Amino acid sequence: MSARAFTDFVAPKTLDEALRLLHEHGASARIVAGGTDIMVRVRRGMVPPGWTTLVSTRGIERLHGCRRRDNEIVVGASTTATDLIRDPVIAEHAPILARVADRMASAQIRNVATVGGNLVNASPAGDLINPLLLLDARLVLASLDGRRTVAVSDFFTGPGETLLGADELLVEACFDVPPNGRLFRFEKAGTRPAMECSVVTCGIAYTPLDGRIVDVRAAFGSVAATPFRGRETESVLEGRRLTPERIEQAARAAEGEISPISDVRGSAAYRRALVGVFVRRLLRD
Amino acid sequence: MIEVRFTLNGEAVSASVHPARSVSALLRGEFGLTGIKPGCGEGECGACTILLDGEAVNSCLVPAAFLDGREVVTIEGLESPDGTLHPVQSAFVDVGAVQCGFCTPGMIMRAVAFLNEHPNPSDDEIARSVEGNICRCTGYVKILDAIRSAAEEMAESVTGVGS
Repeated sequence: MSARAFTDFVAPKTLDEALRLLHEHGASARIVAGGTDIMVRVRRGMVPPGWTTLVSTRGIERLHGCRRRDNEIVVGASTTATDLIRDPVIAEHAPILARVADRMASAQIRNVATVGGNLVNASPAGDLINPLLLLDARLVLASLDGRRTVAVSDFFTGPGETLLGADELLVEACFDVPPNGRLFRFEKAGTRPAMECSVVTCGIAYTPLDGRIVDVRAAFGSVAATPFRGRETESVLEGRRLTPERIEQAARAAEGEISPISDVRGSAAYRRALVGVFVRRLLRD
Repeated sequence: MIEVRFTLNGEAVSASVHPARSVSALLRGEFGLTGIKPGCGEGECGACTILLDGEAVNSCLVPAAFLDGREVVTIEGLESPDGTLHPVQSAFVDVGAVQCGFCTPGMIMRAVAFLNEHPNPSDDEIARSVEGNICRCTGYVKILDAIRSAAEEMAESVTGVGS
């Protein structure tokens, strides 16, 4: 194991300075925001020799916190889970983010773990990703060459892999202010309520309209190589009435569009069964 | 190496740290603060919990390079200068919320941060407050009793009742 991993630590104060550093160092630079992932890698000796420079984004003020910008909510990449729980803008417009953040890990970890870290580490089990999928969030990626925006549903390319380039920094996640009356439902399963790595996460969002539900979004985690939007489940439900038959059809669509693996936390069959149970529960209650 | 200056248990200190060294390794190794227990080293057990700018964090997961300009309190800095124990420390002693003692400093630091934020906690909130701290001896009952007792003690001292 090595505390010898990484030979340099830089703490830029501005976004421009950080982007210049990433441009200079390329793939040898790693961003450290909260540290909860990178420090575990260091301890386990899982830092590749090519990673030499830690770039701390802590000192970049504008990456911290949430704000409203016209009709969107902007969540800075350095916003911690605790920040989400305490933020009045989130409480008013996207309480689902606070609810999910409140069920993540432990207080000690929530106090340092960031939204950006949860996204960029790209764990199939990353808890905050599920509500961001339900909110159809856009991620702003910046480099010296400029900015681009990608949908969170397109961001993940595999376990631990994303579209983020070596010289790019995730600046913020943003999403439209949800309309009044929109419902966000979320369930997760793990071996205990705290400090669990989720075995299944399942979220559904929709707007009730004249006895039907519209703008349906479904999101699943820990049941495929990446967290993803359940488009089949969504299309079964879009514009429909929530009859028992329809709910059953949605549960089967969800079971069909996930591709879980068996691991120490649960078998593929268990995960598939659980997704069906969650979809039924979220639509019924 | 990175130079950091920070406040440690009320005292201005400085250190020179390796980029990926953890706060727990620095404070135990260079400052002799062995009340920080290196349990799992991965943020699972909470035995290394300290207060960083007043918030409970796992010191094993925080790079020491982050300490510049910040304020750290460890179990060693919790008592008053005259040696009076913090109410949470007294409650752990009085209730007997200790068996082997390895988890105790982390439990106490977490409880201090929790009670600062929730001065009048419910039993459920108290139970949830130690979700990130593992104790393998006690079954937690006396730990929760001690936190409840400390909450009452701290509430009384705020209102002046019983002082």
